[in-house]
Amino acid sequence: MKNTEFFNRIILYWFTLATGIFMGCETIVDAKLPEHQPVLVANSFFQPDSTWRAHISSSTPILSDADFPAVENATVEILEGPQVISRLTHIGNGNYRAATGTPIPGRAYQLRVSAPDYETISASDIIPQPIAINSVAILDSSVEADPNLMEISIDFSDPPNEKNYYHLSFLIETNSGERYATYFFTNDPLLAETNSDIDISSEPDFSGIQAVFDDALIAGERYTLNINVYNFIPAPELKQVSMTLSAVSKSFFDYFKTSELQEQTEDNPFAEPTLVYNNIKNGLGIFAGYHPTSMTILENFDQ
Amino acid sequence: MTIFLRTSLIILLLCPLLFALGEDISALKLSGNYQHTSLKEVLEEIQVNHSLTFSYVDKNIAGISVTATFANMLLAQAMDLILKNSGLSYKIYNESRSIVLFLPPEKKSAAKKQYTISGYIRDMQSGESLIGANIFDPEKVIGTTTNAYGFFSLTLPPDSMTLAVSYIGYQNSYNRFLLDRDMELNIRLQPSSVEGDTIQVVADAVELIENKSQMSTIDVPIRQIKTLPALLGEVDVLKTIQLLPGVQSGNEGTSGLYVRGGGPDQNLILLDGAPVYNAAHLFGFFSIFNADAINNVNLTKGGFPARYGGRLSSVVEINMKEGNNQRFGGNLTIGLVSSKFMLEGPLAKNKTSFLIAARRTYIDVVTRPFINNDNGDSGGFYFYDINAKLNHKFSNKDRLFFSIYGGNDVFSAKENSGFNNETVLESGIGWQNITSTLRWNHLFSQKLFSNTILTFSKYRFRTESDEVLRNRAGQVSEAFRSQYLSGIRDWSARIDFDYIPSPNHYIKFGANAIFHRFSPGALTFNKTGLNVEELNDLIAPSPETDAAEFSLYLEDDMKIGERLKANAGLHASMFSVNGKNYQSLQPRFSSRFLLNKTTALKASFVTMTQYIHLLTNTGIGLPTDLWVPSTDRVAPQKAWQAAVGIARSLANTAIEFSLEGYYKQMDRLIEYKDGADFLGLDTDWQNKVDAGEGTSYGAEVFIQKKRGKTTGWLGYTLSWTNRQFQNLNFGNRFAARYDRRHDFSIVASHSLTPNIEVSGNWVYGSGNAISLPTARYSGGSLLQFNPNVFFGGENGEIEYFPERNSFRMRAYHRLDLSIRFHKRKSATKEHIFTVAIYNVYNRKNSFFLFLDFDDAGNPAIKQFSLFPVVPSISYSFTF
Repeated sequence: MKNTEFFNRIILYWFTLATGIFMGCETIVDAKLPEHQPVLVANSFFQPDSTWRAHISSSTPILSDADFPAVENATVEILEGPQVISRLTHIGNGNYRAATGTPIPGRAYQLRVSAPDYETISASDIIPQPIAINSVAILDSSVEADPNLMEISIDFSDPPNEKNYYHLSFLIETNSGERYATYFFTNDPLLAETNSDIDISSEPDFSGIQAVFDDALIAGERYTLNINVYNFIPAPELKQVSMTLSAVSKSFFDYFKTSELQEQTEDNPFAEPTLVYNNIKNGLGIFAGYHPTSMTILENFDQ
Repeated sequence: MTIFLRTSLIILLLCPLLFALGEDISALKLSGNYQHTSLKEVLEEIQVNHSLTFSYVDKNIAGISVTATFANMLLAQAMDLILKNSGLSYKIYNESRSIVLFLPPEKKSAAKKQYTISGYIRDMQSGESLIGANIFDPEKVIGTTTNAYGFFSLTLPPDSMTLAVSYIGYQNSYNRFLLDRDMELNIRLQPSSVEGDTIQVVADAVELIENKSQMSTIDVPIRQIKTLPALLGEVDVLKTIQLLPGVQSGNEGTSGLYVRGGGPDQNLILLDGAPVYNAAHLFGFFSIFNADAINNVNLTKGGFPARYGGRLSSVVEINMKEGNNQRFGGNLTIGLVSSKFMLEGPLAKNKTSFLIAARRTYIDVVTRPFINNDNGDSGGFYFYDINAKLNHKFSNKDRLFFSIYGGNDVFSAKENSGFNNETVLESGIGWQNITSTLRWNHLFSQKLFSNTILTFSKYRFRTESDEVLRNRAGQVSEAFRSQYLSGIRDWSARIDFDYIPSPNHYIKFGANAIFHRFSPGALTFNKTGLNVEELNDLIAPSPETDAAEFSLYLEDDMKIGERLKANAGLHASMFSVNGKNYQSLQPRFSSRFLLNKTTALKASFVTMTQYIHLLTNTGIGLPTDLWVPSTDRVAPQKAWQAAVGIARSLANTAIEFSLEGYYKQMDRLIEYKDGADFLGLDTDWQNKVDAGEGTSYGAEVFIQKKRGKTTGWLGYTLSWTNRQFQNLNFGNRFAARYDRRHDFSIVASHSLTPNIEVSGNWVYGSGNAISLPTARYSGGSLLQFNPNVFFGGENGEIEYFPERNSFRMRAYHRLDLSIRFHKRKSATKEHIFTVAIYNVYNRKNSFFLFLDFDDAGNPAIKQFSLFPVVPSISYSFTF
């Protein structure tokens, strides 16, 4: 537990106790929320190595307990300039995919979705240029405190004279074909969620299965990022562990950061809730480009 | 000995029976033979022989002798002869058969000597200074008011005069004398014998609302504060201020102030001149000010005179009592949550006096049975505060005051866990305020008053935990202790001068130097025990920062003609931190223009600069909020405010009415970025804040009745308050959390009998602006789209907020009532029994709203409310 969370708990505990003593009570109120007319929700991440795909659903009023309905009769198009370059077809449960065609980095694409009873939505974004990864090294494959930990270093160069955004994740594949996004953690300030370098416990500044970060601390420089990765698959079952470091667009970064913050603060009644970034015109969701660079960092050659 | 006019302007109509109206006395013929006879004797003889009345100033005829002989000479010719070489002129009034002798203008000019009357106005029984008392000459329609130390100075040409002195709650004092030299006039006013007694305030008093050049300022009589219903019987100065127009109260039950769209950090709260950085006890449910120790409360929310600086939105000046210098006395109060006492008296009568007041809650005692258990778990919280003051009068020119405040909030808990209670966790939080003030009043001359003040102010917040793990043998196998401290300390030196050269000018000037030491957060922790790697560390993520703030000011409250009065001034300040200097010139102007005798138009324009900031992200004013300085990366806050209004006295000055409209622009406000840390344990807090701007505008109506059996006020505010930050709400403008469209309060106290008074207040406010989601939708994740990847963590659901603070809580309203019974045992002893009911009709106001599920499992919006109907009683004994 982070020190800040620990003290927060103490303070909230006392505040709650104090308010409880003052006879606080909970009641259901008939709050007149502005009526929400359901809109189309598009979630689409695109990259050069994959064909276009998107998930189309509908939003629901906050006080409805219904699931988000998938929209299966939408017209989903990709445009480059005024030209429609791809039409996605529904493959089930609101998922749409293009049969052919992949996006090209640096070009601006537009997503346009229309469906009966909904207003047409649209969004634009680009794929950034790939990251120059200089090397990835396993520093220690069985960290003394925990044999399931791998300490690795990623040496990469941040492109100069521009603002760059990154996404990092690790994947474990088993021999039986299962793939897991695995946890990793670090105290590297590049990934620290709170920029805090103070800990009274052994908990790291960042832990999770994916991280986004920007180049504010390393602008235009070469940097070595040290990460501890959990490898929880026993050696006989393990096929490989791979790393994916993606250059992501600003929309991608903003969306990821704000949605993560919203989740973190949703249980704190005193924190200002976070508004999640949305680049879908007339609708909700995200249309964002990214450029992954994947590397295998551990492979089980015994198989 | 005071010399009065021998004969004032007595109207001859008093003796109409002796003389026929309309008789032309200029036809009178006089005879006389005077050889070196005093003029006074000559006039008296003529007065008796011819039934005439002479009016003159004694000193004008003193030493003049007459040598003249005349027979059957017409009155005018005889007067010319008598007054020859005297330098005096005369005027004959036929109808009143009177003759007025006076110095001709050229003679007056030659003798244009002016004299100054100065002194102190104090309470007759206690010797307390009366702040803002009127000193007024109703005949000449001229006067002044006492300053914050009860001092006044009035410079006038020599003449006979009647000075009336008035102060709310006191009997008027009328003082007739001849001003023929500089004079010292120390007056003690007798308190009104009956609470709320109708006392006629001198008409045209200077302090009447329409006569003051200042606007947007309100004095709240401490008597009124004490009579109003209070939550759990705890009289609270700040909660009374919340009932004034232009002041929002923030959340239910808390004592934060949001003045004209400003934040809680933008209020300069001064206790005897020392700044108070956290005026809250118990998470803000009570304020730190003990009403028994307070003499005077004043709120300025706009039109700031140049003497004020350092904050954008308001100045709350709270002056402690000085202590009775006539006799020992005090009071004892027992309430539901606290008891308190106040003791005051002379150490040397008329020379030295003291006051000490203390209060402690016993919530910890009351709640102990509910918290403690057989397992050894325990907990509790309490607060206490102490006010003390000592003052000594060295002479009529020198007076020294020393006052100190100390307050502490303490929360603690102990929890045992494990099968054999082998783990003990003790945790606690607390915060502490200390202010102290050393003040020296010195009178350089009757026109030049000075106040030199040294202050120290400290606010400290701490939270700590101790975790002890014992083995079966009872030995401490591991002990882990952590403590977090933050705070601010100020040392300041200030000198203020009041220079009053004439009734048309009241000049104030002075200088102030403040040394700030900011401690934005230091964490210590250590770990000890058997077979444990010992830790002992101190981490100061944002190291202590020292800063210096300097200011100079000059202002003149000037009367320009009969109708126009203006207060113009300049406040210059400088802030130095880590080699970075900021400077600011802040012009201030306010004025009034009398439309008629009881109505004035007012206008003001001020600019303000604030060099310190409060980092807060909870909106409830927790003690964790951090004070930080402006730095090279975080610029000072700035604001300008313009206001216009109309002020009028009604009902023979018993009622004051004001209507004001204002517009305030605030720049370089700072806020935590979304999701930033709660405690601020950041490597550098500057990384976590965004700068933005805010606007507030609106109109305020205030109708106050200060005299009579029924007193109170009615206030209404219509306002709009917005914020705009580049990184909040996607850069779009949004309503501030305490943007409140309508805010209404009515406050009244009524004396049913001399021994029973009832009070009540009803408040209504539009709901606070909050952020609530209106929809949910499916979120996207990169991993989610990788086929056949198992991932956890995200629930894939996003709540859609149209924009920040776009939703309104339910309107807030509440009625409080109280009744006070007085039983006076003697002139000084009195029992007071108070019964109060807070939230009479049990309105469940929203403290906060949140999404949850109802009993049937359907999504619902719930509110958390505090304080249902809360009755309370208290007993007070004054001696």
